[in-house]
Order: sequence, then C-alpha cells, then structure tokens
Amino acid sequence: MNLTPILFLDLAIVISVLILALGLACFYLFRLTRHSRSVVKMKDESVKENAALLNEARIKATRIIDDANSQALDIISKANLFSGASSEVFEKSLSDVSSAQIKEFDKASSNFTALYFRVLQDLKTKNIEMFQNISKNIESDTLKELDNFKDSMEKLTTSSQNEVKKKITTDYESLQKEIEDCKKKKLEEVESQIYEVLERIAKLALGKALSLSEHEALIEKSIEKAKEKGVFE
Amino acid sequence: MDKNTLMHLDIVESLRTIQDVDLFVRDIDTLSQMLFDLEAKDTSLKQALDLISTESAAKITKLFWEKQLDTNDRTAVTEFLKTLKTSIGQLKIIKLVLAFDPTRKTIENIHKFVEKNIEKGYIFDIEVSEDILGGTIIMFNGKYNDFSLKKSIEDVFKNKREEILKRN
Repeated sequence: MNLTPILFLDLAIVISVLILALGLACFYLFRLTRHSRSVVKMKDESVKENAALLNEARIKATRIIDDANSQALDIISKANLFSGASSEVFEKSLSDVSSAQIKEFDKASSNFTALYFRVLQDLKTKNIEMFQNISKNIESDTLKELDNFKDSMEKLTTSSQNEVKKKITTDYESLQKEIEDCKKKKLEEVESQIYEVLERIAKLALGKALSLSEHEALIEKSIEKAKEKGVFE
Repeated sequence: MDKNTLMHLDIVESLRTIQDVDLFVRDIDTLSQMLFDLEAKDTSLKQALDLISTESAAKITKLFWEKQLDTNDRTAVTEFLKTLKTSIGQLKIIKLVLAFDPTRKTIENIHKFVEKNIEKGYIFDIEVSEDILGGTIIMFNGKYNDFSLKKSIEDVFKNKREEILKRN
C-alpha cells in the first residue's frame, strides 16, 4: 500500500499534536502530585504541633484541678468547724425562745379559756332568757291560734251542718218524689199486668169453654149484627 | 137475580163455599173442553161426565133431565154450560173468619141462616183463626166488621178498665 505524501504529512502532524498533548498532561500530573505531597507534609506538621499543645493543656488542667481540690478541702474543713459552733448557739437560742413561747401560749390559753367560759356563760344566760321569751310567745300565739281555729271550726261546722241539712232536705224531697214516681209507675205496671192477665184469662176461659152450638150461635148473632149494620146492602 | 140465574138456582144454591165453586167451575170447564175438543169429537156426554167429579156429574145430569135438554145437541149443551157458569159468577162472596175449622154441617147451618135472614145467592170464603176465640169477622163488599169474641172481650176490658181494676 502506498501512502500519498499529503496524507503522510497530515498523519505526522496529528501524531505530533497527540505527543505534545500527552507531554502536557504528564507535566500537569507531575506538578499536581508534588503539590499534594507538600500539603500532606504540612498537615502532619500541624497535627504534631496540635498534639503537643493538647498535652501541655492537659497537664495544666490537671494541675489546676488538683489545686482546686485542695482548696475545697480546706474550705470544707473550715466550714465544718464553724457549723459545729453555730449549731450549739442556735440550739440554745431555740430552747430559750421555745420556753418563752410556751409560757406565753400557756398564759394566752388560760386567758382565752377564761374569756371563753365567761362568754359562754353569758350566751347561756341570754339563750335561756330568749328561749323563755320564745316559749311564752309560742304559748300565747298558740293559744290565740287555737282560739281562732276553734272559732273557725265552730263557724265551719255550723255552716257545714246547715249545708248538709239543706242538702239532706233537698235530697230527701227529691228522693221522696222519685219514690212516689217509682211507686206510681210500678202500681201502673202492676195494674196493667193484672189487667192483661185478667184479659188473657177471660179470653182463655171463654174461648175454650164454648161448645160448637155456642160457636154457631155466636156466628149467627154476628151475621145478624152485620145485617143490622147494613153490611149486606 | 136474572132469568138465567133463576133457571139454575137449584144447582147454584147447592154451592156453599168458594172451594165448592172452584171445583164445580173446574168440572164445567173440563166438560166443555171434552165435548168440543176436535180430537175428542166422538166422545159421548156420558164419557165426558165420567171424567169430572161424581157430585158435579150428578148435579149436571139432574139439571139436564129437569130442563129436558137434548144431550146430543152439543151447541145447546155448550150454551147451557156457559149460562150455568155465568150464574155461578153472580154469586156473592162473604168472607168469614172463624175460630174453629167448621164441619160441613156447620157450614150448612150458617148458609141456611144467611138464606133465611138475608137472601139467597151467597157463598162463603172461610178462613180459620183461633185467635179470635169465637164469633166471626165478616168481610163483604170491602167492608170489615169484627164481631169476634176477642174483640168483645177487649172492648169490655177497654171500656170497663177502671171498674175491673177497682174490683180487684
């Protein structure tokens, strides 16, 4: 295969460009790697510095804490001493105050009791008087009410008696009239029944007592009457 | 009463009740029909008379004989029977309500009493009602007359109520 010179030239140019680009890339990569290594190195150094600082700070803090502990212990021991003394004084004072207060309370209590009994006695006296008055009032009121009630009852009884008397009289008259009417009606019924019975008996007696010739005679008599009345004209 | 009725008075007088009349008229009708029925053309009067009641047949035969009627003259016989029926139709009916079922003799007695006291030419239509007790209720020409014993007793009790009750 034969390559034309132009094509060969083009190919050579392309290859040169590619080689150039590759060289640039390698250079850039080399620089980047070197920079990274320097950064890492700086980081290690700063870490080491920080650790030293931390260690120093820890030592200082420990020392401060120990000092504080010792001072606290001193303060506590001093406070305990003070507290013991104060407690004794306080207890004594409290005992004195309590005694004084108890005495005061006893005194006030006896005064109050005396006052209470006196007031109670007064109340009792007043109540007895009041109840006596109330009893008297009640008695008089009750007697008065009883009198009124008695009067009312008497009036009411008299009125009721009159009403009842009047009602009884009216009812009696009405009842008497009803009885009279009933009696009259019943008598009329009885009379009517007697009449009906008599009529029935007469009919039965006469009807069954007739002989054949008497029947014929009655018929002939009837025809005669009819003739007289002009029935056959 | 006209001439025809007078002519048949004997036979007509023998009738007492409406039932007698019904029976007799039915026999006359039967006789007339038998004598003039075309299919029974050859039936003699005697044969025809055998078909009706004996009593009616005897009465008619007797009448024919009394009137010397030619029984072979069917036209004359027909005319005679027609006249007889007309005479019966002229009888007057008295309706009587009685308290008992009357015997034939009682009917005869009452009929005789009517003939004697009123007139001839009446027959009875008799109805029985025991309620009336006795006497009779007479109905004639649309007139109603109660002559019963029941009515008499009721009238007595009605008119004399006070008197009756006082006595009790």
